[in-house]
Amino acid sequence: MTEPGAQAKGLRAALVEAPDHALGRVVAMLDSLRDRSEVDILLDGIRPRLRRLRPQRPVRLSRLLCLPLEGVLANPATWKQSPLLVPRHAIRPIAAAVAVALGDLAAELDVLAAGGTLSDEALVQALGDRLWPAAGRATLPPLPQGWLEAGLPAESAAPMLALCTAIWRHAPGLWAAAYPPSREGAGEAQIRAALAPLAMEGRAALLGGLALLLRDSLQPGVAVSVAASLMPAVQRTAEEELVAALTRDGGLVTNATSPGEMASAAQRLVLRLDGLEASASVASREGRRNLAAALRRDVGGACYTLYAQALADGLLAEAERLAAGPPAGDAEVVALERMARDLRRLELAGRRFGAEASFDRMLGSTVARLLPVAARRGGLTRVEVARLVEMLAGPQAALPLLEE
Amino acid sequence: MAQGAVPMSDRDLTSSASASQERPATRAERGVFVPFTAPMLWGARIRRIPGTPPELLLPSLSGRGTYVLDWRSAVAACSPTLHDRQLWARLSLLQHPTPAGVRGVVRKVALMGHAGRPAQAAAEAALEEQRASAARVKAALQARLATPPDAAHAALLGGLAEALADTGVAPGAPGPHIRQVAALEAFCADLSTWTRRIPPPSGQNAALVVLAAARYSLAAIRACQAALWPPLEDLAGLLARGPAGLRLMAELAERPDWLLDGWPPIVALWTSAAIQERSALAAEVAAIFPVPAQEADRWPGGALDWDTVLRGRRLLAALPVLAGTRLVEVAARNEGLRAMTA
Repeated sequence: MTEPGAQAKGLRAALVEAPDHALGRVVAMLDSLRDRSEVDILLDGIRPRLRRLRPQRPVRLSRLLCLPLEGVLANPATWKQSPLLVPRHAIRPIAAAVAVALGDLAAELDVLAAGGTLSDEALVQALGDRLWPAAGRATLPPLPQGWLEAGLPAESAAPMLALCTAIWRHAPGLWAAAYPPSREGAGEAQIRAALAPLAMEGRAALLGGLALLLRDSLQPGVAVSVAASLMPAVQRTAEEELVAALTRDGGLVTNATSPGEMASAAQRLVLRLDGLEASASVASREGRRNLAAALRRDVGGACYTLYAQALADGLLAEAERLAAGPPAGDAEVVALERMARDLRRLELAGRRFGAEASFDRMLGSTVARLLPVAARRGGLTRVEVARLVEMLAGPQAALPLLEE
Repeated sequence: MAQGAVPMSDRDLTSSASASQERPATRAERGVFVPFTAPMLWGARIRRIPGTPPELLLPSLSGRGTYVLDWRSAVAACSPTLHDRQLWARLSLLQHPTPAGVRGVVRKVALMGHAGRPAQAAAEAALEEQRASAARVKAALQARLATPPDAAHAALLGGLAEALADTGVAPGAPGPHIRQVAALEAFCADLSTWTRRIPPPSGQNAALVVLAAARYSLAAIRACQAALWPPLEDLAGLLARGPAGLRLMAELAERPDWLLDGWPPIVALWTSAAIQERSALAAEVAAIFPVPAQEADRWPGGALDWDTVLRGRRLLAALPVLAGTRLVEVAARNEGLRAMTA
């Protein structure tokens, strides 16, 4: 697949603008292409959304190899031959070299992965536990085949391969700390156990491991503090990476276009900000405090704005429209209730950033507008209106509707 | 826990002593699973000891012991949904809660729309299926008699048809229950495959405990179902025993229902969960899976080693307390299960 520049740009823009429900299908289509050389570049603009939406992507050896490297992978356009980064167009030659070096094991893992998807975290961990250490110990050619053809300078091969193999050697522990099965996330001990061996491999490997943890860990602040304690020289860079990661998270919230999407992103940020300042050293505490305050202000404001708008223009308008008409269809009621639950999630997450009084006022006026809707003998039953009120404001607020 | 909540037992839970104290002696003491939708009431049961008000039994998040609450305490501590309040108001009128009795109330509340449109439609379909099954059972029983029954036997036959509507009258003519038993069997197979594939810390221990409990329950359900058919082979003799024959069959038909009680929502939850949710789900299910009363040990296929299963459960980590947006998500999830298990 080779698209001329303008067409590729158009495709990238279309992907960025695609709604959540369509994105999974488009990515599945791209994944099924035999030649995926351009696909990774096309997907660059939507990677944060892909991480959140987690579409069913087939497990492939090259993708498995990339997983623990996600923190160091860079868009080819922005790659500046840094020894801390691996451009995505280096994946093909590196993965091909690993497949050759591993021989039968690579073939066996390919068979075991057949039919599996990246959403199957247990499968990923089980396959990765075998693949990554073996890839880390493999003897790879100094210049993998296809390296120069991919437009990569020959001198970049050695540091890049060294970085990849160092991370792979310790990837099982790193991956387990980045994506633990429990919903509470990895604790400090698990994070330390994951980063300590990477620190022994050197600065680039430690920062690469840290970058992976910073993407989704529920305790990014702890990860940075652990990394700094293992290698004080990385403290400044690590704190900068933390700021960048949380700022990206904030962007995911403020750029979200639907209440459900924003609620998920905001809740994730709430969890990641929890304990951020507590885990910081005295030197970095002030910086983290300022970062958290700025994020709370911006994100809280965005949450309330979308909440108020979606409540008035979306839910209330739709409820009043349905109530004024003939008995509403099942699909209409189900959609309305989904909207109400998304709004409740957004409100709960938004409150954690502040603006409690605004949310309270908005909820009060919403319930007041829904009460007359329940009194009408229209398209929504009294029970259905009561359920809407409950979904938005809790059972206590809805009780009077059923008691009358 | 709420004011008024008392643990069922305050024994030393870290010892390896018999876990039989966790198993109530009788069905009435064990109570019946209630499909509440509030996250904090998930896994709760209702019980009513004769002469006392109904009680709510809530499994502890640690999987160790059960809390006994009155409804007022549950309202204060567990934020029941509107649906749950409607449900409890009607369930509390049951003098002897049984799985079939609770199911009937649950369907009525769903029909009123309190669990949403999908659950309403599912309840309508389930009631229709039950009516059709009862009619089929009655016709099948009548066909076994050489002559048309007299009025007294016809009344008994009607009662038998009601009692056997869920189970059916023979392995080849099963009722709606067979689907739930098959789903439990598929759940065991799926869980078994999953536990073999995943690496050790990913909830595997919890899944193994659940698997053992599900397999025990399945074996006991099958044995109790099989025990239903022999008395029906001599239907004329059974009818000749009058109401005693009807009581015998009602008792036999109730046993698999009690053993299955609580499993269908777990199976539906597992089946509908995204694969990445399974580790956390295994831990959640381990804290709430149903355990039969000790009297079930005397039923066909009942002498199983529940002590070992319960000791395994006590070794698992406690579940995290739900909070924030997760409460909204779990309430929606629980309501979604209602449409799958009507």
